[in-house]
Parts: sequence; structure tokens; C-alpha cells
Amino acid sequence: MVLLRFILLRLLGGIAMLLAVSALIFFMTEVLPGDVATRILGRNPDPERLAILRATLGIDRPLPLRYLEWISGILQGDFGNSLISGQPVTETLGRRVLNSVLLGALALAIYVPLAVLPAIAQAVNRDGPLDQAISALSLAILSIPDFLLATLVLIGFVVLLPVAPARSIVEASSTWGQALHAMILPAATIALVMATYAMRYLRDSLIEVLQTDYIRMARLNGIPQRVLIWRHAMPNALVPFLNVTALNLTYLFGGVVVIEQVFSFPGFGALMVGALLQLDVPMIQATVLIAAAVYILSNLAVDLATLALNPRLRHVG
Amino acid sequence: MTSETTSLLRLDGLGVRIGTQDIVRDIALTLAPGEVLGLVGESGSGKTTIALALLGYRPDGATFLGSVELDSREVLSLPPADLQALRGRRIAYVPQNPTTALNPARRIGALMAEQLAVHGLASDADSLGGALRDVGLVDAPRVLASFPHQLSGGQQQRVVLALATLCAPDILVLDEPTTGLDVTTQAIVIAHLRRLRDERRIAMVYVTHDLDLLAGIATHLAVLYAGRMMESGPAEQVFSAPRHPYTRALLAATPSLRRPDHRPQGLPGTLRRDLVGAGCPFAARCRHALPLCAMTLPATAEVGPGHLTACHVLPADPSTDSDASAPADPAVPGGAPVLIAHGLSVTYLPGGMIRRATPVLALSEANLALHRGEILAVVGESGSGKSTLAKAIAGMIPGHAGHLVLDGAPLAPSITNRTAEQRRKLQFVFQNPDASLNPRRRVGHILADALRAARPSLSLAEKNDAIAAALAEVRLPESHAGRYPDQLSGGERQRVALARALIANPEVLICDEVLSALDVSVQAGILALLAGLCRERNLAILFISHDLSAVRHLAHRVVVLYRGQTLAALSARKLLDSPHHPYVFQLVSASLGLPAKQAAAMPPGPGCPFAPVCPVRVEPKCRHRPPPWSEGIERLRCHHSPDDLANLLTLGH
Repeated sequence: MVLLRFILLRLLGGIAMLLAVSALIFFMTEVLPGDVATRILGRNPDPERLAILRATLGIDRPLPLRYLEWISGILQGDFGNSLISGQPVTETLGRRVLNSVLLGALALAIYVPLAVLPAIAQAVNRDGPLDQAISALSLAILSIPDFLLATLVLIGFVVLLPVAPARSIVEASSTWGQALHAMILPAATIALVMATYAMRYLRDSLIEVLQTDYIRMARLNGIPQRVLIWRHAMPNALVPFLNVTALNLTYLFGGVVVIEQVFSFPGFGALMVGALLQLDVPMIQATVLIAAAVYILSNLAVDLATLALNPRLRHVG
Repeated sequence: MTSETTSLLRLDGLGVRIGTQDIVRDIALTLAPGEVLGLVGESGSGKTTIALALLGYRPDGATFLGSVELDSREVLSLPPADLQALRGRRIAYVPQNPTTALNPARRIGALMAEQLAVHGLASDADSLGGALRDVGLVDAPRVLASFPHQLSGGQQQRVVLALATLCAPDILVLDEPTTGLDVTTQAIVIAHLRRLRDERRIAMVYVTHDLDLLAGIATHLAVLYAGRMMESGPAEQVFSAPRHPYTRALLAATPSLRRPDHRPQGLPGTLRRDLVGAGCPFAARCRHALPLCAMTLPATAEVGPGHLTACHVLPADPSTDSDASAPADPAVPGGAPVLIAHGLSVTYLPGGMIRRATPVLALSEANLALHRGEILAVVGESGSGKSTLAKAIAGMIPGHAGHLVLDGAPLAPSITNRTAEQRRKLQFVFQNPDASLNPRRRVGHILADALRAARPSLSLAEKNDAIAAALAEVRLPESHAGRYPDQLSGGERQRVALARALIANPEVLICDEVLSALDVSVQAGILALLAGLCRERNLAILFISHDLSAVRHLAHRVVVLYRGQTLAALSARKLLDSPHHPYVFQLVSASLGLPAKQAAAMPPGPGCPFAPVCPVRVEPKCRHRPPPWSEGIERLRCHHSPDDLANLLTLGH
């Protein structure tokens, strides 16, 4: 029950944090030089038309009041209407969030084995040729910018070896198979970027764990290598890997815009950047708030996983 | 050691080589069922390397020479899978530190079931529970469901033993299995090992630097220096008639309550592998060395039945080795105390990711008075609050209750609120010099930093003189000022830590377990140094330790703590004499290697903290009412009167 209380407290904390973030987003987008009305009417607008537009948009009323309206709207699932398309933000957002969640899930499914297996191979053959080769390769991948890596993948698997479509378009009518086929290349690219980073952490923490007394004790009492790695070393080596994964999750959700662009994938990142470029304030507010929620939730998930792996943190005293 | 037909394990010309350096060379030994072979030597002697080679464990980049045969089967060339099948099943390993030897993420039950499963043995709750009860862990279901951190250090070490003996191996390799344990727990572990030796006839290889401990368990001894065998033979013979100068020096360095009048003698110098030449490796430090010793290796000769030694000189009369004489009984100094602690209490809030605020009383109402020229020892097992007491006095625990007085002036709880002069007068030496010295600063800079804080007005020349004087005071050459801490040995580092405290010209020196990270041979040197400082500088020393033999030799008075409460305050000379507090009695008998009378544990009450495990407790009084202090100089806190205690508890029974 202590654990339940911990989760509840953290969730409450997360909600408080989201509220703080929402206030920050709202007031920051509102104090941007020039309000929505001036942006719509362009330079040197007629003051009379400006006043009328402001009244229509409701932005002549005090800021705190509008914040409260905005928040209560969000609680009812209403993020307002896009300034550009006039459509409800939720409508556009919903599809994109779903796309990104699917892409993220696929990328994550590729990411975990892609990070874990080479890291184990490296740690077991520490400083050997395999370790050095994987290190060099991961360093090379890390030093290639995302867009170039995505382009290389595109050239490799679309142009030279055509196994995947060039444009990863997922539509409402797509079947699961089609969606998977469309998403495999961007997902693999994202997974590769994240895995090379996480792999280096996991290799180092595994090497550290493999040198501990309890691993030596287990080895000297006849525990076979396979059991030693998976049952003895891994649970203890995973914590730094999880922390990197939490950072990766946020990247995965909002920061992969470059990769989305290369594969023409209609994801959440592209939406966020588009909204920023077009100063579509309601859309900016909604996307940033969702990104913050993802960040908070993924950190909670990582803390819970850390608790599961480290019993010392679970008990008091 | 035994005839070949009965031996389980046979080492012949065993060597371990890394690059061109021989870590271990030319080791020949045999081991038969029921034998316990003690492998002794200082750090760097190669004893652990040999022990691990028995399990076919090769250090990174090393090659094996010679052979290790188990049942006439060569261990060193076994393929990995066969080796894993052998380890744990025929020959098992017990490591040094139980707190790091158990996987923190696994439950004890899972570890034990897995140990059986990987060796193809069936496991059920009964057999696991039985194995735990064998090592004296009665509450088996709870232990099986526990994670290692939920057990005490003694319980952890017993779990490790249960794990190692689970598959009924014929040989146990023990690597300092009781270092870091309380004397009481150590005595229990040794008693269990003796049972395994006598009842199950398990053969053991016991690696340690503590000769005193081996006296209680070993049947045979092998003394190692720089990877070579110096002396080996039946334990009784080697202890009673040691022939090699190194064995004698080690014995002379070991403090022991068994020999109350023996004053430990440090070995000069340290084991330096780079100084070992073609001759006897010990030649550079040997007081009997002849020119021949440094040039050619002595042959191994039999000096008694099964008693082998490799020495050119073989000095005959041990008495010439030692200029030890019983120290004069030090008078307890009088006058006004320089440091007074009154009613010191410390409460901790345990940490953790999920926090439940149940404060823990780490130290309760401790009182002490320390005089100039006095060494006051604070002893107790882990969790007794002895380090908490030291840290509270040093100002590292700002939230304590009670009063501190230094040199007649009140001392603020937090070091930040103390005057520069008070900080200078009170200096602290930490347990582990590896951690307390900045590895990126040269020794000279480390000392200069301390000097700048304590005596800022000195000129450059005066500073350099002070640094040279401080190094000389701890018997280090002036040239060491230019070295980094990692270029020094453990003992030298602890001397630098001492010099850093002394350079402030303190009135009071707090030494928190300063010996426990050091080899026995080095400990004796530090003990002599502290005793000298106390005499010559009229320094007051608060000596925190769990080592009763060291305390008995060094201290004037002893304060005994148990679970944060003070149970006794007595003169160190009286440690071995009745009347005793039951807890002190237990500590002393454990240090002497005598089996302690165990009482069935009971839940603690508001009374005496020791009552739940006290063999002479009186129910319900002891557990429910705090015990009173006795009158007189030797003060005890017990419901029994000192006369009753003298009758109830007698050493040797």
C-alpha cells in the first residue's frame, strides 16, 4: 500500500506540474509581441477593425480569466480552434497523436533489443575486437546528423533495396499491416538513433556490474554465463539505461520532426513545428502541453521500473 | 601435508603470471577432507590469487603455470562449461564482504533455488529451510522471502555460507569471510565453520591476514610473501615454533587478547613487488638477512614433520626477534577534561525513495570526558552508534541533542558555527584513507591545505618546515610530499591522513576505525604511532574501534556502546577481568574465539537494549526497565550487581 500511495502522490505531483506548465505556456504565448488579432490583420491594421476582431475572438478580456476558460475547455477535451484552419485543434491533434504513438511503440519495440543485445556482447567481450567494433560503429552513427541518417536509410532501403515505401503515409483507412509497413523505416531510424546512445550507457553499467562481488560469487559458485547475465547482472545494470530511455521517450514523441520530414510521416513533431512556424497559438499550447505530459508520465514509468528493479528503494529503513 | 592417497586437492608448481610478472610462483600444497588450510600474508602476497586459482579463476590477462588437481582431474585446463559444473558443486567460494556478495535485486529464496537448479539438484522449501537452519537462521521463511538489504551483516554472511554449502561441496574456499563482521558474529561464523570441518569433513582453504583468527580454526598454515611460499605446515607447529623470520614478524605484529602482555610490533617497510629481486623476496625487510639472501632463492627444507620453510638463515631462537616487553601500566591522567560530551543523542530519519518517517535513535544520552594524554576507546558492533558519536563530536551531525565542551568553552553542534580555533583543536581521521585523501593532490599540497585552514599566519618557510615536521612525526620520508596518494601504500596513506590532522596542532584527535582498512602488519605501526603521540604531545585521542585486542593495547579507558546506549565505561586494563557487563563479556569471549552462550532472541522492550539477547537476563525486569549505573570507577549499566555478574559470568566457561 505504500507503493500505491507513492504512485498516487507522484500522479498528483505530475498534475500539479502540468498545471504549472500550462500556465507557463499560456502566459508566454499570450505575451508574445502582438496578439492574434494583429497577426491576422497584418502590419498597420485599422484600429477599429482590430478592436472588433479582438472582441470577436474574446481576447480583450483579462488574461487570468481567459486562462481559466482555456483550462476548463481542455478538461472537457476542447483545445480551441486552430487559427490557421479554423478546425478544432482536437480533431487534427487526435490523428497525429495516434500516429506518433504507433510510431513510438514500434520504434521502442525495435529499440530495446537493438540497445540491449549489442551492449551485452560488448560487456562480455570487454575491450575485445567485437567491443571495439561495436563502439566504433555506434560512435559513427551518433556523429551522423539525424536527417542524414534518415536519408541514408531511405537510400538504402527504398532506392537500392526497395523493401519499404518512400513516403510513410498512414491514413485512417490503412490496415495494421499497411501501417506497419509504412512505419518500419522511420521507426527503425528513430530506434537506431536512440539505441546507439542507450547502448553505450548499458555497456558501461553492465561492465561495472559484472565486476561486483556478487557476480564473482555467483560465477565462482557455478552459475552459468547465460543465467549470470540475464538474471544476475541485467536487473542491476538496467537503471541508467532506463533513465536514458526516459529522455529518449520524450525525444521519440516530439523531437523526431526531422526524421518525420524525411519520410513524410504525418506525426506529432511535424504538427508542433508547423504550429510554431505559423504562430497557431492554440495548436502550440496543445502540443507543448501534451509533450510535457508525455515527459512527466515517462519519468513516472521509469521511476516505477527502477523501484521494481531495486528492492532497496521499495522498503523503508 | 597429507599422503597423496587421501588428498582431495593437489597443487603442484602453481604459478600465475601476468605479462612477465609472476603474481604467484611455485606453490605446492595438498588438502585432505576435514583439513583447514590457512593462507596468510600481507596485501599483495598473492593469497587471494592462489585461492581463486583453486576454482580455476584466472585474473584478466593472466596465464597459469603448474597444476591444480581435484580428484586427479586438472582444474586449470577445464573448458568453461565443465568448470561451471565443478564450481559450487565440488568446490565452492565464500567471499569477503557479505553485504556486496549477495545480489541486491534477488530474493534469498530465488538465489538458493537457482543454485540447486543450475547444478541439476531438486529444490523444495524444506531443503532450503533446512540449509538455513543449519547455519543458525531459524526464521527460514522470512529469510527466504527477503532481499539481502533486509538482513543484518551476520545474517547475510550466514546466507552466503548456506549458498556455498547448499550443493554439499567437498571443498570451501573462504576469502576473508569474517573481515568486516562484528566480533560476536565472527565467533558464530567460525563456530559454524568448525562444525562443517568436524561433522561434514569439508576441507577448507581460508584466506586471511589475521593469524589470531586462524588459531581457532586452521589445521594447517601456509605463509606467503610476494607470491612465494615462505613457510607451511601443521598449524600447531607453525604457531608454536615458527621458523621463517616473516612468519615470526607477522605473529609479532598481531595483537591478541590471548596474549595480553604481548605488545604488537609493526613490520618495517611494506611489501613492494618492484623491489623483489632474484633472492628471497622478504630479504629487503628481513632483520636476519645475509648478503646471500638477496642473491639466491633459498631452497625449501623440512624443519619438522610436514613443516616446510624456505630460508637461508633459519634463526633458531625466536626471542631475539622481538624487543617486545610488557608495557608499563599507563596511569589514567587526571585534571580537567579537555573534551566533555554530556547527554549526546542523535536521531536519524531513514531515507529511501518511498519514505515513511519513523525516526531511529542512533545514539542515546552518551556521556564522556576525555583528558589530555588520554586515549579513550569507544567500542561496539555496527549499529552501536560509535561512529555517530564521533561524527557528532566532530560537528558533522548538526541536529544532535546534548552538550559538548572543548577546553572549557561550549562547542556548537555544527562545525560551521564553531570558531576557527575550535576547529583547529579538534581533528578527525577517517576510516579509509583511500577515500579521505584527494587523489589529485600531492601529499605536500594536502598538508599545505590543512595548514592554511588551521594556522593561516605562517610564512612560506615556516609552512614548509611544518610539513616536513608533520611527515617526520608520522615516520614518513620528506620526499613523500611530492607523491600522489595512489603512489603510497595503505599504511602510508593512513599516516598522511594522520599527518594532516596533526599539522593543525590539535588538542583532541578523533580516530574513526583508522585500522580497519589496513593489514595487520601495518596496524601495529599505526598503534605504536598513536601511543607515542599521546605520550609525547599530551594529545587526547578518541579511538573508535570494533577491535578489542587493539583497544586493549592502546587505550586507557573504554566506553562500550550497544544500539546507541552506553552499557559500560571501564579501564582498558580491566577488559579481561571480572566483573563484566554481559555484553562486554560476550565481546571479550568472541575476541578470544570462545563459544559465546547464546540466548533465544526476544523482541526489544523499553529496558536494557541488550536484554533481548542477554544470556543472564531476568524477566521481566531487564526488558522493561532501564538498568541503573553501578557505582565506582569501573561503571556498568546492568540490573545485576557487579558481584552477581562476577559469579554469573566467568571467562573460559
